[in-house]
Amino acid sequence: MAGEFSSRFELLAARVRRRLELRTALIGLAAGALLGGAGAFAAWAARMPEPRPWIAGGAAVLGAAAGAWLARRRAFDDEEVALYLDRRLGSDEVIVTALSFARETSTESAAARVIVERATDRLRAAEPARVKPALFTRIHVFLPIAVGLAIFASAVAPRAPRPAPPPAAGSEKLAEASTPELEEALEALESAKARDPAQEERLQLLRSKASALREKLAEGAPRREIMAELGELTDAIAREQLALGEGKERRGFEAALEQMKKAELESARQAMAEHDPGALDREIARAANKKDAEARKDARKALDDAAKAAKDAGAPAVAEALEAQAERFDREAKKADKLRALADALQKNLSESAKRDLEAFNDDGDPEAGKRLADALEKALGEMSPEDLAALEKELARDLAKQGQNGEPAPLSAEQKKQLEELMEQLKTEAGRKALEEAMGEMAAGEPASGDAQRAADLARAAAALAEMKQRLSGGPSAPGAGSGPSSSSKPPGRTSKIDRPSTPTKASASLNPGVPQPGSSVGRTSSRPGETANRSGTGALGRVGPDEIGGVSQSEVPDEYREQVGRYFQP
Amino acid sequence: MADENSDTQKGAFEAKLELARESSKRLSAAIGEVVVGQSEVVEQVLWGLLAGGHVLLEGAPGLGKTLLVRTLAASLDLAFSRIQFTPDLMPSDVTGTNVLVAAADGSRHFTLHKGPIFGQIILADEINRATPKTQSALLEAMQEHACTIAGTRHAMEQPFFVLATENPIEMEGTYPLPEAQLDRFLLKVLVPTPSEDEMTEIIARTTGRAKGTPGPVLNRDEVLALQAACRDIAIAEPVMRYAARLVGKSDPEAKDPPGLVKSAIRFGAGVRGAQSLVLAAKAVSLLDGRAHVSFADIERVAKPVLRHRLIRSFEGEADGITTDRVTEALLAAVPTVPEKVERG
Repeated sequence: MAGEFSSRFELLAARVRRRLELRTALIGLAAGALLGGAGAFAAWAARMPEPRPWIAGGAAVLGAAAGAWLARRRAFDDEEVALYLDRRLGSDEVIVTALSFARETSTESAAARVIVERATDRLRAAEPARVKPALFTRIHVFLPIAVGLAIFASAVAPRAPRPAPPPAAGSEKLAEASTPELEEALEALESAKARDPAQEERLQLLRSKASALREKLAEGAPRREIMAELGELTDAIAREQLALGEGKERRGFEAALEQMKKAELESARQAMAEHDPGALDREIARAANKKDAEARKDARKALDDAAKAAKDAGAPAVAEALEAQAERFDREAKKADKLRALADALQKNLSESAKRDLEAFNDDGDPEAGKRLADALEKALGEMSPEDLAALEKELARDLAKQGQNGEPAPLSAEQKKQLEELMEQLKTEAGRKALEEAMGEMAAGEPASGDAQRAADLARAAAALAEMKQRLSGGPSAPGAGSGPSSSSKPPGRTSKIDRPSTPTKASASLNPGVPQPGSSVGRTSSRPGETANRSGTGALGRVGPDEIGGVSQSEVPDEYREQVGRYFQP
Repeated sequence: MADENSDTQKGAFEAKLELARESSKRLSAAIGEVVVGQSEVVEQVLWGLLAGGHVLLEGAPGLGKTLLVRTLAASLDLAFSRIQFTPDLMPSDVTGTNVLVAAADGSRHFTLHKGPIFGQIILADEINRATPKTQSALLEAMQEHACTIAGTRHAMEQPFFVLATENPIEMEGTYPLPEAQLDRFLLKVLVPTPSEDEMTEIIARTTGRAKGTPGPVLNRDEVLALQAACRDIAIAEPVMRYAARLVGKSDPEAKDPPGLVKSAIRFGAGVRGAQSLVLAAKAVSLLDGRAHVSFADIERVAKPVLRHRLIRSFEGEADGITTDRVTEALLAAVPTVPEKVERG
């Protein structure tokens, strides 16, 4: 009987175990399919069509395997099967009791026999359908759902690949084998002569930066980076243009300006205050060309005083520049006397326009009029016949003889007298006349510009070339304040016309056009047009000004997080 | 030959099972002729008898406790003794004493005058009215089934079955049974107040002409055979473990005891409690005609077995939490089978 009990029990136990294992494996399959379906949907959402079936199938198989492993690990032992059967059959633990006797074959007590017999009867009468554990439980409701989900997630049409994001404005690569503007700027920087070793060092740095930019442009680099370096270079040149009288020399500069507050030097003072060496040259020449000897003397003295004041106030560079202007003043004055004397002597041979130039030269000391006059005199000298020359000599001799007599024109100064005598001597010989013609030619060409003026001109040329390059590369106005209107070919691009007034107000009172931002400036908003939104990051006006703005902050000393914010705002 | 022998033994055992089931029916019927209702009490008293334990009956006066015991004794054809416990009862009044007896030849010698303890069914009526000293006179007899008088040990005649009654109403002059003595009772049976119908029946029976007591249903040998058969009832290890878990969880110091045990119990049931659970459950299965114990048997006997073994804490007593409520909590908290079998 114990044998029959054991065989029947083993048979049922195997069924129960198999069924339970299958059930747990199915739970694992459901869980795996659910996870796999979720993973496949995630892959679908991420636009990855290929791994979806693998994800779903793999997770389902893994889940089923895990379920099977778990079922095997938690499989019922004999005692648990017996307890399970007792519960299913309502046999009041007779089977589990009989099982303990079946194991101990040596103890064949009467009670054991009765129990085993009754347990065997129970097992014999047990209907398999009643005994076998339910294969599906409530949790298995998820099985078809999960499998369906996994299949659907694997089979659903893949999403169209995400369109490639448009490149951020300014991130496109810029490459130019040769850049004429940069070449010109480099040439201008090479020709610029430094005022002192410190400036030479700075100029050298600018040259090397410009060269590096040229090489970078040739190799190719992001537009944003190129524009940033270009802006940095432009700013450095602008700083050099304003270098005279800045920093420690500021006090001396102001002291010199104070000393130049004379009527004769007012224009020169204005030019110096505006850091315009070219204009300063012109105004110094104008002061030196004055016919009034006293006025020239006052102007010359004011220049000396200004140089001294600058030196005393610890501005040697300013003093040096003013001393150079004083020497220039002397040269210009000497030339003006010679020109005026010759012009007076040759007045009959002059054309009407030359006469007007002489008049302007005498009235205002206009250097341009002087140049034109010198040119006219050179031509007149060349065209004179020997008779004309003889008459001229007589005229000059008479003028010289007149000096000192009552009722005659104001007596000539010793210098003027000397000039007149030299002129007469030169006119006597062919070689002298030739030399005089050449001197007039030189005067027509004008006094060479001062070192500061030449440097300023070179720097301005470099700045203009860079501005032009910047405008070309960005496709818009190049720099704050740059004119956006049509510019004449003679005027460098990006420069506004000269204001024709003796002085400029220190405080701007001009009203801006409402709703139109200044070109190249950022006020936190940008203009909008119909059909375009200013808030669409990286597009429209924001996109256009983006590279400049980002370049501006990248070269400034602002915290990194602010730079990132600016970058995100303009080019997300 | 061996098979024939074992078949004979098996047949004898099955006969005992049948006898137990029949006896149970007959005893219940016989007692039912005298005692109205109280079928559950009768059944639980039989568990105690078959398991070889003793039973403490607790109930208000007049609920038929003494009548029940007397009727049971009459039905079993066993020697019945009744000890009425009173405060002035002496131990020797229970056990008996040696008395000086004069012989015919004039010589004198001591002869044992046996006390009421020398019976087979002992009714210790209102046991909590006697002093602890007198109560302790019962201890040796209940535990050892023997009594020592004047240095001589006297074995009790088997079966020896003590049924004690006590009044639950606290009165002056009563002495609560100490825990050690309570533990020696297999079961503590509560005698409920009869229902209206039962009360009516009782009135009808007791106010008319008295009827005779029922005749014996089982004799001494049969009772002893049934007690032996009770010990032969098998119990599987999971069922034994269940009994052990129940008792273990009744200890408030155990790991994760039920909340009620933690809050209302000072001491849990001990090893005797677990033994008593199994013994009583065996008696249940025997009376049910089964040769093995089930979880249901354990659950069925849990209350009467644990009722007097769980010592309530002050908080438990103050909150009026009965040990039966704690037992119910234990039964609810301790699973019979592992969780995975339950789910399966």
